[in-house]
Amino acid sequence: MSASDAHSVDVVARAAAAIWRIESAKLIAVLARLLRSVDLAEELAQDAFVEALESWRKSGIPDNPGGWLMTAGRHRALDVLRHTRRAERKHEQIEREGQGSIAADFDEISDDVIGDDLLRLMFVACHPVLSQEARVALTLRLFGGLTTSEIGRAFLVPEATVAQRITRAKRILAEKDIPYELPQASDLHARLESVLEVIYLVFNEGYLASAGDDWMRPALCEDALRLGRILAQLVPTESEVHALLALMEIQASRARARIGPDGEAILLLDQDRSKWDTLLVRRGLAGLTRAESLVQRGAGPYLIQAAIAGCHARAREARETDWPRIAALYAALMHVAPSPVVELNRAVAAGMAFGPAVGLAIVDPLFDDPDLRQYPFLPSVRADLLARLGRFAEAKAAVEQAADLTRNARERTLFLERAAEYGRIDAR
Amino acid sequence: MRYMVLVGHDEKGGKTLSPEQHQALFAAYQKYEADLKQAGVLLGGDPLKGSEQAVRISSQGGKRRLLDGPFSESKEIIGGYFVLDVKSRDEAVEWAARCPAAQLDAWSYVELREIQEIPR
Repeated sequence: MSASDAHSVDVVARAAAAIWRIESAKLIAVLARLLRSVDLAEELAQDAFVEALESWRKSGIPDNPGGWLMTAGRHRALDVLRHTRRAERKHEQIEREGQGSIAADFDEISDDVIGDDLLRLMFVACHPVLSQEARVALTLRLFGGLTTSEIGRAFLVPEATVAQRITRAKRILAEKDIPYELPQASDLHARLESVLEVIYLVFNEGYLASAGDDWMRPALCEDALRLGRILAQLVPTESEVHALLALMEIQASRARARIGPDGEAILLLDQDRSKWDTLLVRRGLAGLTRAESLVQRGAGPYLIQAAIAGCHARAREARETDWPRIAALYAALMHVAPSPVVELNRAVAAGMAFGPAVGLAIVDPLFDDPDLRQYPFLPSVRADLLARLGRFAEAKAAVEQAADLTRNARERTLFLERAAEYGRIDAR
Repeated sequence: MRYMVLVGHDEKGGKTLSPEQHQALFAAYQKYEADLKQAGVLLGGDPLKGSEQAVRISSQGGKRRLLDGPFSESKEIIGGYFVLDVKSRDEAVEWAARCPAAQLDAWSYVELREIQEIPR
């Protein structure tokens, strides 16, 4: 092989890898519908890809590589289906009828059909019969094009564990005979919720870990954004789908501003807002407006969270933040998705909007909540409110309690610094 | 990684299209945009109006100079752009190659540029 051949092989391999990233989900989605099996679909799609690579190395990359792969994959699927049906039914006549219906399935595939297939596959990958870890792994593998080793690195689990989760998930889908259908209207919202949950979980895994030393984790935010954009294109009329995307885009817009030069976290109100990514802010706010326009029966939890994120995004400086509106939005969130952490956030917003005494009145009852017993931010928020009321001795005790609860060394240092500061002021 | 797909073309070439060809080109761009969205990689983009409405602004010796389009010396103009968010340069190249402007005859082309992130 000459040097130039080796070069062109490399060029084809790299282009093919990019084409696989672009086409694999569509290909697997179409094949999964035809074959009623994610496992088999994935296998045949990979076979088609190997075939493509060999052919393209000889004759170059075709004008429509996606179409090429789809044709190759469907031929393989047709062979498998013929083979299975032949094994199942001996009568030649029945076989001919069977082939007729197979042929109908193999008519030219339009973009709409591919879109529906992608959506079916997303619903199957995020099916409630699967564990949350399995849904995440399967979704990232099928739609993010991530390998099991990349997923393992991203979630800090061994590759073998991820492979096992995916294998088990596929087996459960086959055993329970999960249909490749779009959910019925009555079921749509519950099933969509499961998909949104998986996407947001992927995002948070990346977002909350970006201070870590593993370079793969910020990439998870990008994977989640991509999944969110795909879903928004597939289900353009659902408010919560656009809301989740808007929420993620607004949060991601702050990525550059939330980590300091020494890798320390910078809280929202202390961030240099000129570092926010204006393209993502603009897209997020536009998505939020769209989500608001699509609301049918009250705002959903992602819309309310996106609206809160939007309030922060619109404030050019921290002191311009519309706290009364944020406090009202947290109150609304307590209605649709109540949790003690949401209530704590409401306390913070109310404290900013209406003064520390109002915030404190919301915070104090939360100390009876068993879910927050180990939560360092509860005494930390209380400390802040007490300090603003001039009750520094109590504030010092509260922030020391927060320092005892946290397991993060950097955070403990910050809490203890605050405690010392309150102590100094109190001693004056 | 963000990339800009710049759609360049010979302005005269576009004017020789028949209405049917125009319509087909429009449909091809619609399909391209839908594909980009379905893959979750499209961040934005717009077509640009013709160079007869353009103006070039520069300063010489402290005096502002305006030059109204169309510009006689240049035949090629930027007709529009797409902003993509992708994982690799190879993926960006593959998407750029699928842009209708990269698949037409010699009067149009695509230029792919990576967007520089400014460390602030």
